[in-house]
This record gives sequence, C-alpha cells and structure tokens, in this order.
Amino acid sequence: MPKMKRGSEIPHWFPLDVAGTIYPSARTRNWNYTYRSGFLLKEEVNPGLLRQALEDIHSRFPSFFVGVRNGLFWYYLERMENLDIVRRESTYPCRPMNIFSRQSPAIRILYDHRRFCLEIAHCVADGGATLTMAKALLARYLQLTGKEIPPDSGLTDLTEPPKPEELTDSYREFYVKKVGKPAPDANAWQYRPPQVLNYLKVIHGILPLEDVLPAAKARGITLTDYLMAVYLYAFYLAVPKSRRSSRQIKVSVPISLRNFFPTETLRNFSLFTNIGFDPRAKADFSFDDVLEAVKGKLAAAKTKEAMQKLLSSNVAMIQNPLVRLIPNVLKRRVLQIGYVLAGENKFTTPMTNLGRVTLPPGVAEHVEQVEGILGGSAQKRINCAMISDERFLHIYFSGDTKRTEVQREFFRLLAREGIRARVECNIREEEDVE
Amino acid sequence: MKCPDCQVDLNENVSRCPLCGKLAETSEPVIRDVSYQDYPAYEYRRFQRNLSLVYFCGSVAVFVALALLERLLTGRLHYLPYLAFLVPCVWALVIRPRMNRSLSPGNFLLGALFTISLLLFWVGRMQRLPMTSTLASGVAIVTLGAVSVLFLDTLVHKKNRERHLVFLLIFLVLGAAEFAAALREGHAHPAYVVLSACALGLSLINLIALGAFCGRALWEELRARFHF
Repeated sequence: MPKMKRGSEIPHWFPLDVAGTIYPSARTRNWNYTYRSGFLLKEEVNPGLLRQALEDIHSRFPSFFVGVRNGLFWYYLERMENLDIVRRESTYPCRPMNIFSRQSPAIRILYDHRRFCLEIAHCVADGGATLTMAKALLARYLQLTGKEIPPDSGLTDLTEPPKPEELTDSYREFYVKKVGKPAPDANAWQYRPPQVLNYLKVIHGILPLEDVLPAAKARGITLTDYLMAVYLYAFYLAVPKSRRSSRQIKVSVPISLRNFFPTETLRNFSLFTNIGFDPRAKADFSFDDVLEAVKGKLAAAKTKEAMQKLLSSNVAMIQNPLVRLIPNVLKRRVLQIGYVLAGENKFTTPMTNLGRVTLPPGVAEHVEQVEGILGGSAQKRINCAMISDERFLHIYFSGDTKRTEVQREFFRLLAREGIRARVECNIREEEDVE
Repeated sequence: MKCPDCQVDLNENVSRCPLCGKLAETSEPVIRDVSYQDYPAYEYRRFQRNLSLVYFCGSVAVFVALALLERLLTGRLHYLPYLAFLVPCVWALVIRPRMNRSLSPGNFLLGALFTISLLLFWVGRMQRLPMTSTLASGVAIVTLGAVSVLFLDTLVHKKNRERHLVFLLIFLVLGAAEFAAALREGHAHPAYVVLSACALGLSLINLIALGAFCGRALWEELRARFHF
C-alpha cells in the first residue's frame, strides 16, 4: 500500500469540537463516555493482520488516534503515534478508558474469535464518523487476508492524504449568530435501579427487518418512531406507578447533522433531541396512545431550522468570552454540573439508531453482523443502541445494573406485536454478580 | 432454546432467560441462519472505591491535630491560617495528582516548594526571624533545586520535555519575583540575592535548552496549552 507522508500538514493537536468539550469535563472516576462499533465476521480474526490493517489506515484517519490533554482554558486533543491498541477482548464492553493517558490514544481495537470492534471515547468522534473508520479498517483487513475488494467500493480511499475538511469542527463552521434560542426542555422522570460498578450488562436482541418494517408501516410511522414508542412504553409498563414521579418519560435521540449541513468532518457532528410523553395525561396508557403521543415529534424536531438553533446556542455558549476566560480547572466543575442539570436531567434514557450499515460488495459477503453498543452512563442505568444490516435489526441494551425489567417489557411487547426476536446477554448467569 | 414468557429465542448454552430469569425451554428457533456473538467470559472485579474521602479526612485530621498542638503549647491559634493554606496545597499538588496517576515531577516539585516555604515561614515566626528573608531564601533554595531537577529530567527523559514547559514557566515567574524582591530589599543578604539570581538564571537556561531540544514542538505545545 502506498504510504503517505506521515504528519504532513496535519496539526499535532486539535481543540475539542463543541460537543466533545463536555465529555472530558463530565467524566467521573469510574466513567467516561465510551462506545463501541464493530463487526462479526464469518471467519476467525487474525490479530496480526488486524494490527497491520490498523498501521495502514492510521495515517488516513489522524483525528482518531489522539489523547486528551489539559490546557489552561480548555482540554485539547493531541495526536499519538502509539498503535499498540489491538487487544483480545477480555472484559465487559465499553470499559472506561484513560483518555488522558500518554501511553495510548483514546481508542482501542478488540478482537475475540470472529468479532472485532473499535471502542472509542465520545470526545474524539461520533458514531457516524467512527463507522466510516471502522469500515475502512474492515476493508483493509479483508484485503490483507487475501479478499478481493473492488476499487470503486465507495469506502475511504487510503491512498489519499487526510482532507483538512475531515478535521474541522463543523459546529463552529456552521454557527450562525442570532437565529433564536431552542425551546426550553422540562426535566424528565429518572429511572434509577441499583448501580453495579465495574460492570456492563449488554442485552443484544436480533429482530428480522422483514418483521419490524411492516409493523412500523402498518402503524403509519417510521421505524425509529416505532421503536422509540416501544421503548417508552416498556418504561411505562416496567416501572409501577408508585415509583414514577410526576414527570415525562423521555428518550434522547441523537441526530446526525451531516444530513442537514454539507460537511466531511470525521469528528463529532450530532445533536440530541428529547421526545417523550406525559404519563399523567391519562389514567392508563395503551401502546397506541404512546404511538400517537410520539408520532411525528421526531420529524418535527429534525428540521434544519431547529438544528441550526440548537447548534448555534451550543456554540454561543462555548464562545462566550466569560466562559472562555475561566480556567479549565474551574470550568470543568461548572460543565460537569451543567451536563447533569441541562443534559442528563432532561431525558430518561438515550436511544441511538445508527441506521442501516451498507457494506460494499466484496466486504458484505464476509460480515455476518454489525455491532454498536453505548457504554455506561454517569446518570443513566440503561442505554439503547440500534444498528441494522441487510436482513436484521440489532438492538443493544447496555447498562451498569443487573435489573432487566425494561428490556423484558420491550421484547414482550414486540412479541405481542408479532415480531420475532432472539436475545443474547454478555453475562452468563453463573458469571453475574451476586 | 426459548423463553416461555418473553417468547424470544435464546442461545443453546443458557439455562435461563436473561430478561426474566425463567427456565428456558427446548424449542426450535424462530430465527435461523444467524449465529450468536458469544461474548467472552470475564471475571467480575469489584470496583475499588475512591480513596479521596479517606485522604481528605486524613488531611483535615492532621490540620486539627496541629491546631490543637499549637493551642496546647502556646495557648494561641496563631498559625492556623498558614496551616489552612498548607493542607489544600499539599492536597492539590501532591496527593490528588498521585491519585490520578499523573506522576509528573513538576507536580511534586511545586508541592514541595509550597510545603517547605510554609514550614520555613512557620519556623521563622517561631524563631522571631525577619519573615521576608526567611521565606524568600527558602523559596529561592527550593526553586533552584526544583529547576535543577527539571533540567536534569529534560536532559535524560526525552518524553518529559514538553510536559515540563508549564512547570518551568511557573518557576521562571517565581524566580523572577524572588530576584526582584531581593534587589528591592536594600539590606538583603548577598547569599539570598545570589540564590534567587541562580534560580532565575537556571530557569532561563532550562527554557532555552527546551526550545533548542524541542524546536517548533515547544511552540505548538505552548499554543495548545494556552489556546483560548
């Protein structure tokens, strides 16, 4: 593979992007925002070739191999050359990583039998960008194993140097002054089962798209809306009325801004919107009532105007001269509190739909499943990520609690809707904590 | 395998449903042609609790014990404000960085500087020595020692060079302040003037050496550290 000039015109450090600013500040001793993106192949993974593939792609994706550093006013990302990050998977998914390490970047690559995955700190990149890099790594790995990948596969060209646009902070690029403020959001009901530290239970559900898509279509809504309603209703059913406060049950859905703004950035470029329903509105809610309550809300929130307002308010906050002047050591505490009060308190649980992953011919034949898992959260005991391939929708519930009442209601509701499902858990009953 | 209550397919090697805990029943899978991920087994390790509360309580206990001792010996609480300053300094500069595994020599040197200066200040008060001279001489000695250590570390450890930049700047400012104070004080002891001049000089040499070793990387490091 032709080698590009390493480090040419690529800065040694980058300021964190606007969304990424919050994550190093919000971290706690036992948590930082880490997520996973990976593939289950049809053959056993060869770790030597995986390391070689990583060596080959790393200069094409410099913004991923970085560590977080402490500046006087802000944290920043510093490029790292150490690529000894390929490890056999030996613990629970999305284990918190030391993003400040001087030894290794805030990304790791894990393999186990037929699966390999990337685990990355959210301050570096969002799911969409990581998936782009994961696909390039997969294609290069398959090439090294002797598979033929057509040149016009639509994947990132590894022979090209990285484009400057891929490293830009698109939040700042598309910031517009005076577009108005987004509507204030009320606090949501919080689901707080007992937390188990050093633990992440992942429940992986596989649903055939041929079952789910017609079910959503029959209700006249999109797949994301449908699954969001199922998830919200699962909370409603799982938690008895006596344990629910008088607040809305809300799901936080990330929206990729790449669909609204022309950008090639491989860093964070997404925002969140919270959608839910008020369980006090009726004595007893049926699934149809919840569907009706959420129908169209996501589409209404996903307009360019709404996104522009949200983006601009976030950038304006970061660019406020007073905020910029505060030393990082103090700002970190403020942001940590702000993250909980203005972010985490506004929703009950996150739910991300990474969408359908299309792999080019030559690659798709060697991949059996795709994987996307959200790591633990500081406040939320349950998180949900969805990703689909050609035939199946994969739902990953992850959380640092043993309780599974919400997941149970989720899959039971799907079964009542006539949707087949298969469930797997990363922790076998004999391994589970007492 | 299948869960009779949740109506979901389960892996062949599980006996209970991971959703509800019910015993799984043998049954034909409804979804075929997809294999299980088979996550690797791992041994749960209990999370080691944060010891910061222990350290904090320990620091407060030391503070209270010293205050009581002073009250017992002198019948006053004259040095309480200095102690109150010393405890958070040691906490912020020595204990906390150690807990975060940020074992930079600069942190320890700065911590040592504050601790020794305050102790000198305390001793000076007890011995009724002129305060500024005692404190300033102590700070000058410690600054000189710290800058020397940083200088040696810069020569030996290539990786640490850029990390020393911030500490070096702090010591440079301290050295300059001491030298200015020594010059301003008309009847300052010559040793004190020489010491503070040496501290300032070595800080400058160290900075120049760092610039020579690191070149443009040092400028980039400065930009990154202070980006606004």
